[in-house]
Amino acid sequence: MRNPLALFIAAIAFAVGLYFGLQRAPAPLSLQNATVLEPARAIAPFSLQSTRATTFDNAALSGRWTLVFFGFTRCPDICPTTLQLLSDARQALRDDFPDKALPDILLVSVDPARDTIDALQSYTAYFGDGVYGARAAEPELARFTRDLGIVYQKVPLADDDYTMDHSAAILLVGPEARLRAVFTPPIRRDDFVADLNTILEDLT
Amino acid sequence: MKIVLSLVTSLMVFAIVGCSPGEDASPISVADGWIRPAPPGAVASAGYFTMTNHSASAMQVTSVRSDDFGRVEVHETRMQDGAMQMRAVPALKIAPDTTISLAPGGLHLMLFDPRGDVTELERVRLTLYDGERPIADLDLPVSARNPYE
Repeated sequence: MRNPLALFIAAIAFAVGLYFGLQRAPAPLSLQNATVLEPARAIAPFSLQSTRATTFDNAALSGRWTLVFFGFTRCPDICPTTLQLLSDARQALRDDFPDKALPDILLVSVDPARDTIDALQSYTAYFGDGVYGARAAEPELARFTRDLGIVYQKVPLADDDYTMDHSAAILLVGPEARLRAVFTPPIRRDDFVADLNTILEDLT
Repeated sequence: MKIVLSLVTSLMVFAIVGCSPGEDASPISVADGWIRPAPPGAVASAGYFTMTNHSASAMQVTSVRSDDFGRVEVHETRMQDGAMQMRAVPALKIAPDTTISLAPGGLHLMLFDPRGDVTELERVRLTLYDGERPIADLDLPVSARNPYE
């Protein structure tokens, strides 16, 4: 840009753009573990079974916030650890939010061959209020997870046993059943509660 | 009478010395251990603890046995490209003068085939082996959440 006039015009345009940009853009949320999706992302039509309803579809996510975690009941370490953390966080938010504003916690099984609705029911109930589970046979599970950017894979162990590798992300779905934020591990409880607090206050 | 008394006293001293932990001390010490019982519907419980190798030689945990469970294995949860993986660790090495942690989201024990209702157990006893050599006896409380947090 050799022309001084062009440089001057560009500088003015930049300043004006910056001015209006700052006026319009909301201040970015200060978050530790979460990435907020702006705009919120629609979830492709899906149909699972949940421990609450035989048909669990997009409409079932409407009306309240939901934290979605992917796992399986035969995972003794990270799945209970994460569900406990989510349940503790929900409990911690009780001080600041009415019950209907608290996020539900949904475990979607990536091992539908072994995770029956009954198994998911007793497993999720153990972690307290607002925790429930869902499953779907293939190929519905693959379709649902692919849409959300979640991957999973069966890995053989000894004695014909197997384990599941799976994405560790925790998704936050808003009351309008759209994807609003993604939390990526490692997640510390206090950071997670602070992030959730900020997001629920700002986006509700 | 005096002789009998001193005999009794020395026997007591012997008894106390015999019980002291210094005698035949294990090269591995364990702290902050606990067992998370399998939630209903799940099949395996998890065990966590910190262990220190006080000896001058490297050790490894190659097997774990417990009267309360049919099978106990060392496993590790790890993150790979945003995905959680869990893998068996057939030989868990501990270098001399080193402490390693088995903690949620990382190394842990997996306890299968409980002999009874795990939720009714208050404590679980385990023995760590390096080959056929027992290197540590553990007696861990059962708790739904980390009791040291």
